[in-house]
Amino acid sequence: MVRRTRQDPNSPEPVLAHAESTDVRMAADGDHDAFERLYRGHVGRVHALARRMVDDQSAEELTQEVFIRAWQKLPGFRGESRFGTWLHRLAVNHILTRRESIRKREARHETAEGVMDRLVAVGQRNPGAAIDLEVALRRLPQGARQVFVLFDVEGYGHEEIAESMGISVGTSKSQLHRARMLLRGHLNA
Amino acid sequence: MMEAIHENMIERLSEYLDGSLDEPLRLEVEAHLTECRGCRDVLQELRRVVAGAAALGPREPDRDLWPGIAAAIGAPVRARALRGRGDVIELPTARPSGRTRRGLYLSVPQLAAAGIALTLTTAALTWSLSPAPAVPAEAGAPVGPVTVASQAQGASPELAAELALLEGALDAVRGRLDPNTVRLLEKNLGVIDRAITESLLALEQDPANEFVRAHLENTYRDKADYLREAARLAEWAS
Repeated sequence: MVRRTRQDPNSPEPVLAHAESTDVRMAADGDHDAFERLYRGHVGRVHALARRMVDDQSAEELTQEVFIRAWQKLPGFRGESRFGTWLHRLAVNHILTRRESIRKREARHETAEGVMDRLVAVGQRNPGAAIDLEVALRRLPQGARQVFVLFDVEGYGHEEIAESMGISVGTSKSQLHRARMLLRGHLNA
Repeated sequence: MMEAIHENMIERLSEYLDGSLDEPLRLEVEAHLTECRGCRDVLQELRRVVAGAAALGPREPDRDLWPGIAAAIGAPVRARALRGRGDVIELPTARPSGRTRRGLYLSVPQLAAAGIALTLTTAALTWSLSPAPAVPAEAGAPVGPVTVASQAQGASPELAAELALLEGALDAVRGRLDPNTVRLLEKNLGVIDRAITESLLALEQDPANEFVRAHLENTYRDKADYLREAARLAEWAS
């Protein structure tokens, strides 16, 4: 079950939706220009998801991989949901599939100092409350962070998160609570 | 005892906030909240966290990721230097008409080797390579094999060194690449090289033209992006 308490960012205006559905059909038939337009229209949301789930460098890689996967799978897209919804689901699945290898690589390459430097740099580039949350988010343990992003940012339900991440619903709930409490602490610090 | 009840209530505040507690538990939490200022404060802070999360929007990547995607899906490369004039150079290849052309064109093991070699040798070679002046190829000339000799005239020394390195890595595996991959790479690189040649010729006419100089540098960056992303994505695909 997907909670859709937020305005669905995958719902473009009718005129834009028509243009997008045309691009989807053209891209499915192999039109690179149409696919580039779809990329331009959706890269912000896919990259935001990736960036909140993993580190910056991995986020760029994952974003590219998601769009390559989308290109490969587009002929099988039957239009039962909006393209953005389909793409987002694909992105979540891909990121979750790759999270273990990403985690191992991050553990190998990231020093504590490096993480803190990056956090400071991010904060300096992007002042403001919303970015404070972005910075705090990146300090969370990976599991708690990913559940928080999927539930509170992306609007997925615990059942779907549990299924996607291979954890129990109870674990998803406890990770969410843990993430919120840690974020509360970070934001109050 | 009171401390344990308090801790237990805090554990339930997230679910209370999400409205997912069953009725008896919800009433229990609400009764506790009327008595416990600490838990009310925590709940308020959790609300702020949730509201903040809901307000987070899209975030564009810091750099354009399309060149790498384009390389992986076999899309034609456009020369950025000409975009502003609206006469984008496109590869003279037919648009893919079917779905059989989907998938990575890159011959994965060979380019993966190039990617690994690239990673290992970057630090050593970047400082040791010094760009030498080179004569630009004629505009529209046939695209030849990618070679280290195609020095980046007019590029910054760092970028020129990087390009030489990337081209060298590609050259090292070129003979073992799938012919379709080689054709695609050479065609796309040819588009970029022709844009570079045009910029160099324009600079020859007007050496003080900063606009053209900036475009030249950008086009070299496009080339480096293309080479780098092709190798990296091939490595990933393996």
